[in-house]
Amino acid sequence: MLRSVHFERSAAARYIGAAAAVLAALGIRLALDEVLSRHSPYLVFVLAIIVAARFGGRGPALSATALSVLAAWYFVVEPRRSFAIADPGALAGLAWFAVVGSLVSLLVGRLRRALLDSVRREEFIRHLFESMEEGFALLETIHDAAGKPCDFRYLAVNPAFGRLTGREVEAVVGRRVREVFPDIEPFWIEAYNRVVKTGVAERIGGYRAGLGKFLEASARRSGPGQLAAVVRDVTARHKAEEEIRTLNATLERRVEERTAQLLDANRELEAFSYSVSHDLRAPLRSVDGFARILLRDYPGKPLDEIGAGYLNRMSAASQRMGQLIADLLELARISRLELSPRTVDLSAMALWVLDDLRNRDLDRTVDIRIQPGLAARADERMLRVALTNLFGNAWKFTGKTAAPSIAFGAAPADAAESAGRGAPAAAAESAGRDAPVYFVRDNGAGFDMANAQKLFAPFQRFHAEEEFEGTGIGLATVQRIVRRHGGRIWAESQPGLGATFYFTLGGD
Amino acid sequence: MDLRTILLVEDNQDDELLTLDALRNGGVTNPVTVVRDGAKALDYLFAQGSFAGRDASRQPCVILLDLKLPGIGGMEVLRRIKTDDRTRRIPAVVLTTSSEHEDIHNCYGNGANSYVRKPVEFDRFLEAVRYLGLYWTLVNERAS
Repeated sequence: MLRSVHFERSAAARYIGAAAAVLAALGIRLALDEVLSRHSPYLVFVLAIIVAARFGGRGPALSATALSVLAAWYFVVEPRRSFAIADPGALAGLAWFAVVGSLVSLLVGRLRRALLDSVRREEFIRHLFESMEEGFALLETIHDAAGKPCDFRYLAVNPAFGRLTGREVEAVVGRRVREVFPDIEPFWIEAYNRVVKTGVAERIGGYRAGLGKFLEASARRSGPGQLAAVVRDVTARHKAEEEIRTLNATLERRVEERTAQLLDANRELEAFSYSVSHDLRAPLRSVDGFARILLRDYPGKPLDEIGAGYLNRMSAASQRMGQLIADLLELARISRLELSPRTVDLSAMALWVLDDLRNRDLDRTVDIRIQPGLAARADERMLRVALTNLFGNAWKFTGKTAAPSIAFGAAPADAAESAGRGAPAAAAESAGRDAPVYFVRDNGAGFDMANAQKLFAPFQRFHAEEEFEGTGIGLATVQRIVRRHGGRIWAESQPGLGATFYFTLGGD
Repeated sequence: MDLRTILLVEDNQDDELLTLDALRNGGVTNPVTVVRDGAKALDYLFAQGSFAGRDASRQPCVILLDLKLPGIGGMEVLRRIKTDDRTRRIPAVVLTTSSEHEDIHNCYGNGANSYVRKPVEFDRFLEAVRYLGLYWTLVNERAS
């Protein structure tokens, strides 16, 4: 719009120009007096008026007309160099010229205005075309030999279109779409064809694999066989939408997971409170029961061996209850404790724990094998509790084995999986492919795999109290520790042949 | 009179002693066989495993079954003996400290003939067992 001002000369220049044109015409008229006088006395002035109208517009042209009439009157009409009139016919001719000159001024002035307007409009459109953010393409249908539309030719594209498609504007205009973009998805051409055929504007969106962008085109028919398309890059929007979708999906999954975890926790809690009520009552019942037997059977009598046995049982029951409470507190503590992971030397920790067990039970000889150099990111205190429980179990359940052995090491995930069969394999997989699987293996009493799912529930015991003592909370504690590290624990065993406990410590 | 056996399935030795004491004090003179876990109980009843030589035609007159057992739990033992023709006529009494409604419901659902909480107070325990012992071994007509 602004640039069109250049075509609009200043008013003074236009009027001076008009006067100059009339002066020039007068000069020519006087120079060619002989030739022009007879047939077209005012022709040169008419040309001057046309020139003034074309370049100056209506106002300067009318001025030029007036000036021409005066100049002709004074210099051309006899007697010359005077405004006197000799021939009345000459006056009519002069008047006629004035009328014609005015008409020409108006006509050519309007013509000039229209021309200027159209130039201005074109300027405006061109400016718009070149400065718009959206790509613009004017296309023309190309028909194949059978007369079917098969492609489009670019009649015009704007710089934004070039930027959008990574092509030079000059390399696009005049060429066919499939020639410029050989990899274009057919649906674009089909949609363009539809628009040209039906005249119904369409918005087409999709991925342009060749450009790696999501584009959206608003196409409308701009003439017979012609199409104007405004093309936008909507990749960012698409990505944002994609992100929202992913986010939503993630959120949904998280809610599901959390719900499942909550349900799990709830079930665990139920089982836990059930077991607590059951297991804490048992020692109380013993104490109360044997106390009453003693009161009944030994009124005022010294205790014999049987009575002392009852007292021993009461004492043991009290101790068992103390141990139960201690274990329960430990389990509760593990659940509450803040996880503070650091790099832990698992091999050294295993050695320490097993040394401790050995020192407390010096009569036993156990073959111990610990894989050196095992390290993991974990909470040291918690992991020590876990290893103490696992090795404590291994130590305990090898108590009746002829040549007891305990091993600790790490196995590649797939090896543990193939050994694990079924559910353990799934557990290993969900724990993350790269997470090492640690194992604690013993050749002790083992257990029946049919009951494996109960293994980690609190208070679940697999052996009669008289065979192997324990509260049944140890493995529940280990499981909680492993889970708090984002890991999984599972076991495999055969009665009489020993047990192997596998665990991971989360993703890394 | 040839008194038939009572099968006591109990892993806790204290509870076993207390139960035996209660039975004797309640006047029950039947011999009592004690097994310590669910698997052993099933072995005994079906005369298999370590009880392979047992005369399976002589079944106990009553099973006193603790719910909380190592390995195969009491509920599972109950389910198996009550779904097997060889054993489902044997009266089964569940002995446990549990008072959960779900437990009671499941026990009867699995065919328990009676359900008795092991009360912490010995007198009530004694009473319950004495009642049971008398009832099942002396009063009740055995289905045969």
